[in-house]
Amino acid sequence: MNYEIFNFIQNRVVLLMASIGLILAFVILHRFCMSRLYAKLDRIKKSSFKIDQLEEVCSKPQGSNFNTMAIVSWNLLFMSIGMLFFLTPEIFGLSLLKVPQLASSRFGFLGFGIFFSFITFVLYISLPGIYGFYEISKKIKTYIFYYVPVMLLISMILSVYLTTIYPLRNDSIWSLSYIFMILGEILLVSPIFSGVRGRLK
Amino acid sequence: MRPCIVGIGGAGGNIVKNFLQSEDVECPLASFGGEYLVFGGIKGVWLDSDQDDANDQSFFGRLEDGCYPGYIISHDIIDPDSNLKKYIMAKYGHDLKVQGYDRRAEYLKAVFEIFDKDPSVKDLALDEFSPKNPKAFPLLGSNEIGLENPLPGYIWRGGFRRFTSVGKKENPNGNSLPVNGKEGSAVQFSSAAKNFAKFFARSANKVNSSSKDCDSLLFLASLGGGTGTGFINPLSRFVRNEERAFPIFALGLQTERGADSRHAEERKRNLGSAIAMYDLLTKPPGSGIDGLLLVDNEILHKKYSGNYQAMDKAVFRALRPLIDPKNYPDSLNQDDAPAIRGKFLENLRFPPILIPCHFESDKNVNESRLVQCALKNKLYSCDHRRADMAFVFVRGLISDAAIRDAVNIHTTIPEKMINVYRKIGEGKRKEILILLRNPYGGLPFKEGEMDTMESRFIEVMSSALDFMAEEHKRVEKRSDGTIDWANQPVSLVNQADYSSKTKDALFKYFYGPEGLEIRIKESIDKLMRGEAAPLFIKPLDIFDGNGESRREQISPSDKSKVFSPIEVEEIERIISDKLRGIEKGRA
Repeated sequence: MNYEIFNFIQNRVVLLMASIGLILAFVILHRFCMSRLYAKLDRIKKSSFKIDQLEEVCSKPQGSNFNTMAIVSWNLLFMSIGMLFFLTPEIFGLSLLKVPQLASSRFGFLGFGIFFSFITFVLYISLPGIYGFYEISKKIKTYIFYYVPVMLLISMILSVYLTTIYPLRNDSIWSLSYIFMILGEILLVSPIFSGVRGRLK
Repeated sequence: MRPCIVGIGGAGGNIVKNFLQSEDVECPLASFGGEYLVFGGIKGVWLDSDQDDANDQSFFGRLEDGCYPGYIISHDIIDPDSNLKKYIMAKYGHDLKVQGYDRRAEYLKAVFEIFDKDPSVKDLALDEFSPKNPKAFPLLGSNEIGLENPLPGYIWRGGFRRFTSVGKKENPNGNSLPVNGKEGSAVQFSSAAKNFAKFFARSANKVNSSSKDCDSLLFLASLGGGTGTGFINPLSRFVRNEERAFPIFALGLQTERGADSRHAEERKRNLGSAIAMYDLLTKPPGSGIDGLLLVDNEILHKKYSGNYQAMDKAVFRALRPLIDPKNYPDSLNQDDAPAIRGKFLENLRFPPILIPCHFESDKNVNESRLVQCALKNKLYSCDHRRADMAFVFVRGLISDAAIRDAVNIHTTIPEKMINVYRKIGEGKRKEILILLRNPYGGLPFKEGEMDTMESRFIEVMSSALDFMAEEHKRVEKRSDGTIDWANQPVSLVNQADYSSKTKDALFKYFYGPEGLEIRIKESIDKLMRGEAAPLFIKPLDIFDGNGESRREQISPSDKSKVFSPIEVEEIERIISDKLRGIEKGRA
């Protein structure tokens, strides 16, 4: 099998930055969009309200099924990023395998997952709230509901596999894991990019 | 405004389905339930009188079985062996459990009047539908008082009252019934999902906001003489008697020209429409509806080439600006239903007719263009300059002053009579819904204009009159003026199932000196003269206070007091001209 297709994925730090950058872009674009909306409203009529009030009013429910799965998916996203970059000490010195007691424990991966969920708790709880400001088609909601968790779970399983074979390496598997992770992430942020495009027009 | 939308009859059900499409993710294998999320966080019910129709679809489940979205069959509360049913059948010939109402608006009107007026029926009903009889109260709970009028009582108290702010909250889950009643792990998942989302209310986009109670009622029905036409008035009256200040609105669909899919001829449907409109519009504020939105299916039929699904969706899309809850932050309570009700009824003796004009665009159009396009896109033909007030609901980034100016320029309605309700909407789309209040009172036939509201009303009422006149001809009177119903052919009044008492009452209702025929002629005369609202004034009943045939209040010789012979002749000439015109147009 020709694995050259994965050769472009060389610099893993850049790839980590790209995935974090996408999340940051998601937040920044949303803030920018809200400021633009506020400014536009202010132009139409001098606003007697603050931008926070606007956010409150603009928010609409997206459905409890979707919301629940969105929170789960964001949690999985942070976990899959963590597992891809911080299980093995290939990129950063800090990793699960640097803590031998935890790494050799039966519940090592579970402990790592809980730890990562704990430190990213605020993020995956608050980020899905941004969806409420945009009109998300039922099709996109369905993709997020069904496909994103599956993609991220596959990415996590591949990362766990890479850790168990460490110090052996398998770049193809790593690349595949990254692709599943980034595809899931793109799907998760996609409603905002299309929504912002609509709002800013 | 957060209405509880009640779709009545087949057409009403099809439209309300559009309002109740879930915006949440659903799983085809199992219902995940959760909060049933729809646009605007509204609630809705389908009310029908035909169990077969309900069985032929899968969107609505039986409300009584705990399903949501749910349907309710009006006569489900009546036991097949009910004494009340037998009594009414014997005395009046009306079957309370008949499936569907076969385009007879007067059938249901009579049924509700019987319950309202016949003391024996009231006693029987109170006895049969008392709180002591739990079998008769499947949805009502134990501490309800008895039902004098079980049909609307069951529909309102056991059906959709729970979704409104006036509903009793005996059952804390009354607002979140499982989707189509499916129990098991799916529902457990949904509860877990709901609780999880509630726990993180902020991050979960305030999912609970959709469980707010509805602040008004909006009945959706076709005015084609079937279940919708028959129910819309008695039901609104019943609810109004129980809740004097609760906002109640109705949207009536004028059926298109020609025969419909059930081969019900246009004239018969138009009679149903005339009866329903007459009854709805003659109730003073506080005793009936607070506004009748009219939509002409003829316009939608042409626009969507007879695609009924697209037509139903168009009605939903047109009403979206009205029910969108996303108000501007500095005017959060602007579209509060009681406030809108007050505005609708301002300075009026009778509920207004409201004509919706709708337009939406993804392009960057200015306010003037929006208004212009909306006025070209009326859902019922009318002369917008005749309206005495306008209610403008807009979605998108739209200036209040600019939209007010635009409406003023294009309609000539004074600025102080223009009420603007702005919603933020989503994305780039701009949307406008203008409700024109009572936009009639001009001359009906104008050169170059196909339809005006006046001409359409005249057309509907004339064809109803024509149908009544034709049916009248089949009735032969004895020399003493009485009628031997047994030896008459089947006609509008002489239906096989009616008792003689009912036939007499109906005959007077249709053809009596103060009957519907005369009233409709009066209204046509008003329209011909270009008189402004109200179109109908005097309420008209089939039975009198004791469930007997209505007493004649003026003698036949007094007919001349209503119209001079010249006027009668003139009206008849106009009507026959108009009918000939319609026939020609069709040919």
